[in-house]
Amino acid sequence: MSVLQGRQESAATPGGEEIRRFGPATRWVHRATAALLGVCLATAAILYLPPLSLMFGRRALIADIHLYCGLALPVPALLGWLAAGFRRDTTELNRFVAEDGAWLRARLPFGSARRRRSARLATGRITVARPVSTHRVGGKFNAGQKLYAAVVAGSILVFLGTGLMMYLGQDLSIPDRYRTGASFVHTLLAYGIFFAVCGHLWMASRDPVARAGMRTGHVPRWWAVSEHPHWSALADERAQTTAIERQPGED
Amino acid sequence: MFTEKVADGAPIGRRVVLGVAALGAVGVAVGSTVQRTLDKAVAPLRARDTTGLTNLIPGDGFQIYTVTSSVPHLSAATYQLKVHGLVNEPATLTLADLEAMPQTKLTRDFQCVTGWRVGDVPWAGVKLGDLLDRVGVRSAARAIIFRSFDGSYDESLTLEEARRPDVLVALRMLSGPVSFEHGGPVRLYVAPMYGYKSIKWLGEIEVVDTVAPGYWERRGYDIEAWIGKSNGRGDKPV
Repeated sequence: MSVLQGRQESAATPGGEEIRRFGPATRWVHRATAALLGVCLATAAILYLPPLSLMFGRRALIADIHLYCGLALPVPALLGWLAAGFRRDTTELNRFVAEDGAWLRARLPFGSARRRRSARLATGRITVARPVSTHRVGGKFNAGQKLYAAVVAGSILVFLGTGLMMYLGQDLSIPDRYRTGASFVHTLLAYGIFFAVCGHLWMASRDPVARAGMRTGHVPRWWAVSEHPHWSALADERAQTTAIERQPGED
Repeated sequence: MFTEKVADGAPIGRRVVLGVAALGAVGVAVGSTVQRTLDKAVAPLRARDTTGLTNLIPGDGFQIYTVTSSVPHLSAATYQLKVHGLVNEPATLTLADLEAMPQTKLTRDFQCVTGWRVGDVPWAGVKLGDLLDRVGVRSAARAIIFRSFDGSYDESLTLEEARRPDVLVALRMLSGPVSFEHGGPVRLYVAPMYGYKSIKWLGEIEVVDTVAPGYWERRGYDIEAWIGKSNGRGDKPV
């Protein structure tokens, strides 16, 4: 209870104890990719679901919008690559450390024995060996966020490939078999990504601070401590705090 | 400020990205077989489905393609089919006029150029050849242009193709009157050609002296739309 109060107070403190979470490049890539994927999903629904097809009509126009938004889908991430901040975030998303394994084992149904092990891990009764380094890049994302990012990135590649096979199938004389296969994968993956995006939005809807982090680039410290305890930015800050601002009675 | 620090851990993210891409490639390779199996398994469900929910399953269900923003709903009382051009007796036919003519029944597949196919669809209506005989085609005539009554879609056939016995001005489809979404009250059904030849919401038939590219043909599809022998596809002929 007192912890919760503390959280709310520090959240309400303007400018107090904020940590930079996302730079402008990452936020821009996120926003642009979200918009393009949103348009792709909406136009896909219109093209694919009969009642919506009938309601909207204009098939040639809708198909063009779908095509061009789909082709543009990888562009924001590729442009983002020019910015060091975005590259740093993708490096973090790419790398899975021991804590990520524990995080996944604790949440995914891999079997009760492994869950018990991870519970012991979490309470510190057993430890996982990993290289000790005081300056690590990492801890900014949890394993679920890393997996989601990777699955979306992989899916964009598959959408692009299968979409081009469908679009250029006639010109490239691709055999029917593979055109049907591409169409099948494209449709099935669209369902998958639709539910994944719904899950993503649902989780975002439950955490206003996480949303503010993506909107403004900053999150309050208490949120970072609770959501991303291994985040290296916290260690940096802690070191500074200990050195400069430590006051009596703060604990 | 982090750039000089070494990232530890394993590059699992990259492996997941490549794994998803690889799964996609495998899916493209075997998807056609999986799709065929799924189609067979789902066919009895589709046949009995009254909710339209089976349209959510990828594969051989009817998809509804419409190129215009809105199509007027025409009833049996308001529907009219205009037949004109190089004919001896131009006519404007009502649904009752069409129903009074000899009806032909066909049970044939419907094959879309995008790949989906609906098997054994029951069709019934007036043979286009019979309709042409009724108005009398002049000797200069070589082709027919069809237009939808929403004013957006058009298609054409050569006169020879139009006289085939498997080309119907369809009044019934799927054991009932042609529904609005399938192009009712009256549509064309050109059995041996891809679906874009089977114009929906048929409102006008004009007999002309030369074939003109239709709506999708102006956007790249073949004018001669024989199933399995056009558009770079090799589907089983209907």
